Amino acid sequence: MNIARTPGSLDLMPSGYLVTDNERSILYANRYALAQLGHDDLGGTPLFDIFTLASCILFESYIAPLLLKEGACDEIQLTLKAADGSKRSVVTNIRRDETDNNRVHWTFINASQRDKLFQELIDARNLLEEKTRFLEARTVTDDVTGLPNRLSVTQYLTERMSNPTLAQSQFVVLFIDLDGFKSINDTYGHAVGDQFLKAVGQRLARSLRASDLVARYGGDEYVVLLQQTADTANTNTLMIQRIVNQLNTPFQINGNTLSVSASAGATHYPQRSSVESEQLIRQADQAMYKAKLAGKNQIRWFDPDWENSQRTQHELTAQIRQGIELNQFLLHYQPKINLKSGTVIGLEALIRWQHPNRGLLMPGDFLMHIENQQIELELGDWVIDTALKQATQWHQRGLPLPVSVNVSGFQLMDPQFLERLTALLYRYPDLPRQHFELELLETCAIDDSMNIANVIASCRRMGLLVSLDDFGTGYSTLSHLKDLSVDILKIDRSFVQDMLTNPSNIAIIKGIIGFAKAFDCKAIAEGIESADQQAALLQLGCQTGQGYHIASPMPGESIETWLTGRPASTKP
Amino acid sequence: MDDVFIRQRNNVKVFGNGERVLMFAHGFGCDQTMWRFVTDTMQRDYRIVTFDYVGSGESDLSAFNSTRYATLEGYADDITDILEALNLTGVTLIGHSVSSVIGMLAAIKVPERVSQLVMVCPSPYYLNDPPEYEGGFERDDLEELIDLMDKNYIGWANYLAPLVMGSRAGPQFVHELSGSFCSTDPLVAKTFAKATFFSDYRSVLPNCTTPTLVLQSRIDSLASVKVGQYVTDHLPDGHLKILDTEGHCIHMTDHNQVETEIRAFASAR
Repeated sequence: MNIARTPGSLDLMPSGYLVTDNERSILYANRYALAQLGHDDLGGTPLFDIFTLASCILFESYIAPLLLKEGACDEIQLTLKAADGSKRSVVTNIRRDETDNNRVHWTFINASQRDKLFQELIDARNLLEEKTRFLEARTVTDDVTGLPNRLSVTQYLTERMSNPTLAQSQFVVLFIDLDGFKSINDTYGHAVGDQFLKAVGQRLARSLRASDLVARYGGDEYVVLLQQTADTANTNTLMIQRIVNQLNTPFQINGNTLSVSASAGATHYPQRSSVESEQLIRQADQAMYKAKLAGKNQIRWFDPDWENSQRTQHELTAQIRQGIELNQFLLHYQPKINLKSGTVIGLEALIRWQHPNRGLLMPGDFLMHIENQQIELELGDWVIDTALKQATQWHQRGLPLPVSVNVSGFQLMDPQFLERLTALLYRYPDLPRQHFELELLETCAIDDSMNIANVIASCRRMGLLVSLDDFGTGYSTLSHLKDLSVDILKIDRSFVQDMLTNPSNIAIIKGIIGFAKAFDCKAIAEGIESADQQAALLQLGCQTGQGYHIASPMPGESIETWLTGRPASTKP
Repeated sequence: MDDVFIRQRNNVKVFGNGERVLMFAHGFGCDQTMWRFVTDTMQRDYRIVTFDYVGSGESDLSAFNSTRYATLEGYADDITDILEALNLTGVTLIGHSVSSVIGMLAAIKVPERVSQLVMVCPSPYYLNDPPEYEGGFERDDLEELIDLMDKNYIGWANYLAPLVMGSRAGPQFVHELSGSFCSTDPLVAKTFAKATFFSDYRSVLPNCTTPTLVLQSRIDSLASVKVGQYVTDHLPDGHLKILDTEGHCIHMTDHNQVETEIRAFASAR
């Protein structure tokens, strides 16, 4: 290309056009370029003379390597210097011509419009930043108290627990719930209530160290994170006590003197097993709830073992419910006999669980884990129903064997117990009621405040027999026994077991037999394991009994075989 | 650290024949391919190691950490990581521009691994500090540079992306690197630019006892001869060679001269 013979048309071009040599000297500048930069001539001028220093750096570090490697470079924004020292913002496209001594061709257009748009973009960004900060502050702060809110404290906990350095640190999560806040709201209105909540937050915040944190969790609940400096629970409790006690001092709100107390639950971090932030707060919340139940204005620590046992219980409950559906439960029956004649007088139904993994389970393996829970009632109903069915079958087959089932105090105290029992009995109208017996632990029957005596009386009015199981272990008083009015007293196996070696047990057994006579009920001995015990009981005047010596509990279908093997006189 | 991880992270290339190992470190703005004019011929006689700093070229962008790479020490750690991963000792480390200083920091950190330094167009400080020191630039010039980088590197949509995505998203990169020469992520480029142009490493020069060749371009608007002289004067074992060249990328524009000097320096020891 010969610059000297370039037609004048380049001067008519409404954009800047430059040609530089490979030494970065300007060989040609069109009229537009000269006009923009305020020069008459730029021939021979070093390129960098019309570049700002920033553009020089950009050229050296970006444009020059790019031109060397790829030969072209598009839409680069640069700042040029005009003759009067003013700056021109331009956008350039650049080409290197390998065929012509590596001359470089530049076109540029004014970038002032682009700069204006960019400035608007910067303004928009700043505005957006400001709004984002505002929104972030709003989403993490509680409006009423100005404290961090629920979301914020949970996030903080999560971040802290996932931070490898901070996760090592020990801290306490404290859940505080105000006692009696609702009445402040009701009496003085929400405006005062809100001011009160704010004052509580401020007081809590003042009682903390810089490393601690207080947040409003919701309603009248606050969560406090305490950095643990001392490693003893005692010190922690004292610290928590101090924080909670601060709230006992009355507050002055709008001329009103307002008082509350607070219940607090606390939990530790770290724990033996891994926990999550929300779980920690829930633990502290649970402990707080216990504090409330314990009479408010108290502090309770969360017990991780309790949570584990809860979990086991939930699993067990689900398994039992499934076990009922899948017929994994069954009843074994232990014969009761007349000790003198050997005649079978009845059978005690005892629950067994054919567990798919653990094999045949005895009542002691699972019943204690479901005490006082709904599932205990469901299983209890199953036992009654199954025993009734079995007794009916025997009755229909000419075996009039009374069957007894064990009933817990919790079952008896259930308001629907009598109703459900009636419904179950109704299913088996053929069975004489006196052939069905409820065995109740003496210990359960002692607490007459629960109206157990009335329930027992109702059962007897239905025609059922009622016995007191494990009798002699429950410290019944004479007057209590009189009120209870049962049909049978079952002498506890512990007295029978060593009656032959322990004279005081003989005295107790004599006493129980005496009670039974006095209250017009029968006595039956449990746990007879030898012929000598059987003989001794007979001698003391006890006519009936059960135990391994007589027969072990056995499946219902084995009973008939067992009976067949006995002398004819002993059959029912 | 896992050497495979380091090799991938820094896109490390090892090639060439020879006993002596030459490691080439690229400067601000581009990547290791800047060195290909020199390495194309030198690989016949030397074992060559080239790489991209994290954030540049075809490095693993996900390894970028704006705290680590806010200072040149972070980039020096890239070099020492590579030297350790490849278990190299007695290396001649050649750095262009800012990598002269980065190389010096690496040599101070692992002197047993770096036996020679070549600084191509170095500057320990780009700002003027009158009367003793003329870095060549005023603060306004460098602020303008950052502004120009904003305007050139950042797609306008990306300019708002971090805000739209939210600060919690962390330093994630929403777009793929185009992979083309010199393209750089805006955050990475600005971080590198700030580390390069606003830091002052003059006081570190006397701590570098490694024999150092300073290759100075006769006319270089980024690093003047005065700056090259200053560097040489303050290095305990520095040797200045002023080349009759113009510009800052002399390893590309005048690679034959640069190669000759590197060969002479590497074989002299």
